[in-house]
Order: sequence, then C-alpha cells, then structure tokens
Amino acid sequence: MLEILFCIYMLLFYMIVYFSFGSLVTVRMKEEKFSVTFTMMIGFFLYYGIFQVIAVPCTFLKLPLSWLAVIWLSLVAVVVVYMCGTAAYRKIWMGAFDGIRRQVFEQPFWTLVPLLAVAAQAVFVVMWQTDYWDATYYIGDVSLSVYTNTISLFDPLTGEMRSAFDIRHCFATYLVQDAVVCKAFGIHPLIEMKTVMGVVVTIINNLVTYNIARLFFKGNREHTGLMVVFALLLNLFTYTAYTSSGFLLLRSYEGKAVLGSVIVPAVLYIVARLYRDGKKKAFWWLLFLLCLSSCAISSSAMTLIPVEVGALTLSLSLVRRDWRPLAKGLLCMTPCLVILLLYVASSFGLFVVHI
Amino acid sequence: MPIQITEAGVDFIRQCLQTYQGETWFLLLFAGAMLLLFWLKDPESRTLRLLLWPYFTVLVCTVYNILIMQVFIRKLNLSGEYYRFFWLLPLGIVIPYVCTRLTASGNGRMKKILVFLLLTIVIAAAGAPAWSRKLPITSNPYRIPDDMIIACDIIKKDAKRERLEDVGVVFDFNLNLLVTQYDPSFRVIIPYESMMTTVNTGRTKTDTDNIWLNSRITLVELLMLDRYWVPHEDFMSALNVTETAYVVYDASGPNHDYLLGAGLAEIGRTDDYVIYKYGWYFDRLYKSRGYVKFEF
Repeated sequence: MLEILFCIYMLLFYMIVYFSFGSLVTVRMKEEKFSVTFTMMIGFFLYYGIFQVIAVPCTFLKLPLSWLAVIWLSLVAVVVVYMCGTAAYRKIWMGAFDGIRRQVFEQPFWTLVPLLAVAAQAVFVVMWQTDYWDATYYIGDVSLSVYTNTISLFDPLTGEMRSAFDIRHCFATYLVQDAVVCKAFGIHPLIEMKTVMGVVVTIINNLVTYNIARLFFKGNREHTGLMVVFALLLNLFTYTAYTSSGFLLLRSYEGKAVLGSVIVPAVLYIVARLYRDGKKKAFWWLLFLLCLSSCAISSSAMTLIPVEVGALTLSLSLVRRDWRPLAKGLLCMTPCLVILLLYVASSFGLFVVHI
Repeated sequence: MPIQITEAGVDFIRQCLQTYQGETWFLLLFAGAMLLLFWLKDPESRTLRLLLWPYFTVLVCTVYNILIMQVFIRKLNLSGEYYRFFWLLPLGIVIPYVCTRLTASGNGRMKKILVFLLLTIVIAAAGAPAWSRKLPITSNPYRIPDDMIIACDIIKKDAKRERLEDVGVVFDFNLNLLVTQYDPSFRVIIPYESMMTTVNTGRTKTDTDNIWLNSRITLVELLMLDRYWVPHEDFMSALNVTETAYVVYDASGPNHDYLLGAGLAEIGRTDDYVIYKYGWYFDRLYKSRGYVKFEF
C-alpha cells in the first residue's frame, strides 16, 4: 500500500515538473493557444534535453551520483518555484484549467473517454510480472549506480567497473535520470523504472496521440477521444517486434519504449504543425528540442530520428517545392548526427574515454 | 534472438514474415489505411496524405531498401537489430485516424457503434494481443518473482547473523538475471555475460586455461545446466576459487544429493528454490576470525 502511495506521489512529481518545464516554452509561444496537454508533452522533452546537458559532463567527470542528484533537483526546484511563483504564469495556467473544467461540464463523456483509455493502459502496464533479459542491463545499471553512488561506471553485465565509458549508452541519460530520482527519493529502481516510468510513458504516449488527434480533428472532442481509443486498441493488439507496442506496454523501463511510442509520433506531430502553420518558427525549435532529447532518451535515436526527420522534412520540401525545410531539418538533427559520429568513431576504436 | 539484417541479408524480409507470421496482418491494415487516405476528401486527410505518402516513399527507397541497409549497417558497425526502423511507419497514427474517420462517417449513433465494434474486431484479429506473452500477474511491487525476494531475505538474514559483509552467491539462471536489479549488494558469482556465453554455446572448461572462467563455467554447468558429471572436488574447487558462500538451486533440479555431498547445507527454501550455505567457506571464515563454531 505504501508503495502504491509512493508511486502516485512520484507520478505527481513528474507531472508537475513536466508541466513547469513545458510552460517555460509554451507560455512564450504567443501565436499558440496555451494547452495543458501540449505543455506537458513539450515539458517531457525539455526535461530530458536539459538533463542530458548536465548529466553528460558529470558522467565524464566521474562525479558521484549524489552530486548530480543535488545539482539536478536544485535546478528542478528553481524551475518549479519560479513558474509557480510568477503571477503571469499562474494566470495563464488558471485560464487553461478553467477551460478544461468547462469542457468537462460541456462534454463529460468525451472528456472522460481519453482519461479512461490512459487509466486502462496504465493498469495494463503495471499489472504484469516482467523479467526480460534486457532488464539485466537497463535496470541493473541503475541499481548499481545507486548502490555504488557512481554514474554508470559499473557494467551491470559483469558487475565490474568499466575500463572505458560506453559511448553508445553514455549520452542516453534516460537511465541516469532514473538513478538520480532513486538516489534522491529512496525509491527502489525496480519500482521507479517498471511502475512509475511505465505509467509516465503511458501518459506521455497518450498525450502525443491526443495532440495529433486534436490537430487532425480540429479539436472535435468526440473524434479526438475515439482516436485515442483506437490507438489504445492498436497498442493492445499489435504485440510484435515491428511496432513499439510491446516495449510501451511491457518494457517501458527502456528508452526504446519512449523512442518508438513517444518521440517518433511526436516528431510527426511537429512536422505536421510545420506543414499546417509553416510560418511559426517556434516549431523548428521544438523539432530541434525533440532531436536533442531523443538522444538523451535512447541510443537508438541517433539513427532512427535523423532518418525520420530527414524523410519528413524532405516530404515537406517536395510538397512545398522549397528546399529550406530540408535544410532546417538537417540542422535540427545535428545533435543526433554528432552522437552518431562519436559512436561510429568509438566502435572503430577512434574515440575511447578511459575511466 | 531478433533476426539480424547483417546475417540474413536479402533474405531478411522472407525470414521476418516467416518468423512473425500471424503477427503481421496489421501491416495490411496499415496499407489499407494509407490507401483510404486517397478516398477521404476532407482537408486533414489530404494533409496526412501529402505528408505521409512522400515520407513512406522516401523510407522505402532508403531504410527499407534491404540492399542499401545491409551495406550501411555493416560499414558503420551499427546495431543489426534492424526491426527498429519499422517503428518509423506511422501505424499508430494512420490506422487510428482512418478508423476514427470511418466511425464518425456513420449516420446515427447505432451505425457509429456498429462501425466502431466492427473496426475493433478487425484490429483485434489482425495482430497478436499483448497478453499473448502469458506473463504472470505480479504479486509484489518490484514485479519480480516472490522467490527472488524470499531467497535474498533468507541469505541476508543468515549473512547478518554470520557478520558477513561480502556475500558471494550463485543463483539459479532465472534469479541470476534479476539479482543485480533487485539487490546489487550481493556479489554475483556468475556474471551475466559468462552465464549467457556458457548457456548459449555450451562451452566447457576444456576450452580455456583461465581458472576464473573455468570455475564459473563449472558452476553454470552444474547449477544451471544440471550436468552432474562434474567431480565433487572440481565443484568444490570452483566454489572455493569464486569464494561462494551461498547457492540458490532449483527445487526440482536433480543435484540436491550431490550438493549435500559437497558440503552444502540447506538453510531455507522458497516455492521453487532451495537455498544452501557452503560449509567450507564458513569454516575458513571462522578460522580466519580465530574461533571455531560449535554446532549442536
């Protein structure tokens, strides 16, 4: 029972933090009507993007995990206090929540449907006993980091200290974030990664689907709710290596779950916004943010996201008969390409950082 | 083991379809939904069509071109788990979008409900449900087998009583995968890599002269692969070299008498495992502390 309460508390922590981080960006997008779901979605990416910028130097400097926890949670506290303490932001937030309250009264059924879909998916995610072999690496890494108070210096597959940094994984600081939270709040890595993050990823996945549905159905609540339900059905019934549903529902502790189920559709959403609202420069910055945070979440993003961004911005260029979207797309994917370059160099032994 | 494009080459697609037969019908759903985008005349469907068809074409010409990717992955030393590129297909957007359009196009509530149910059946029939993995429902917040928690608890209590800080344990295969995740304070005698290499390749100790590795291979052979032809002295030597204090062995395994004969004593059991304590290790420990333990 205590664990359930703690999970709910951690869930609230993440939601408040994502919302605060997202608000840093979305309240400044003057041409965009403030939306709670869009803000949380952007906040999720900004959170991991900034975390990577701080965590990677700490990793290479071999700082103790507890130091990183102090640095990071201080920054999080500053952002949350700043956002909550600023009257102008509070006013915008209150306006947005008032809007949600009105919608609940106007169309209670179709407001409730997406919420029930998320709840159903969350229950499904947390009910199974999952012990996939991959977890030995991913959760083992976090457990060892917390236990040894180091940042991924130990190899969970051998239990020994690494001789050199694992370049493929050390830029993907998704796991380090889990270790920081476990260290700071005393939560067990298995609970944080399997249950708390399982539900967090479920919520963010549905937020992305919801925003896509809202975009293509022009805010029609009935159609938006229906699309969220169909997406849930598809996730439940397409358990195979060829969709990310299996990762989303059963292996959410891996960054790949976020990559396939959150980042890939979110990139599509941002490019669709660029197609529809081409003049809004902010969406190019958001695309850059997505590329940056994708590498912070999963190492596979360094190949997948450049392909997706390249193919989508090329499509945009073809449709518009203008080469600039493709050029901007190439600029946006720079973080992924830099990390890919470092990884390729490391795999050929040209870039090795000894511990 | 996922099918590797670098190994399968141009035969990759055939192997995939053969291996995952029955789980790939939803690809037809996706193809149908992409085609239906041409039939839907509203501006939003047009936006999706204009964006996704060129996108899909670019993917087909590049990352879905097996010949190009095989060379690319090999040259750049990238991960051969190519299936992740399939995640770039916008299945999770196009299929729900088209299903919603079709449902919404029905006149009247009853028609909409019927279309919704029909589409739900089609989606359900096209793929494999997530619960087809037949995973057990969890009974603890860590979402691991209860045996892991109970076994660790028994060992920790005993180690505390013995004032043992560096607790070396050989776990059974399934628990060995989990122990670092659940409690990294244990010194896992068989590291994941040694275990998997031995289990997957059936390597025997004759392959190498490395004592560290040989000892672990012996333990894997006897305690995980249930081969009991290893002589007692070899097994005990492996336990001594690796400084093993405890062994967690499958309750239904055939080697319990053998373990008792090698100086192990049962200190507890869970539903599926028996926890043994290695007497010789503790004898040496007591001697190093300068006292003799009397047993009654």
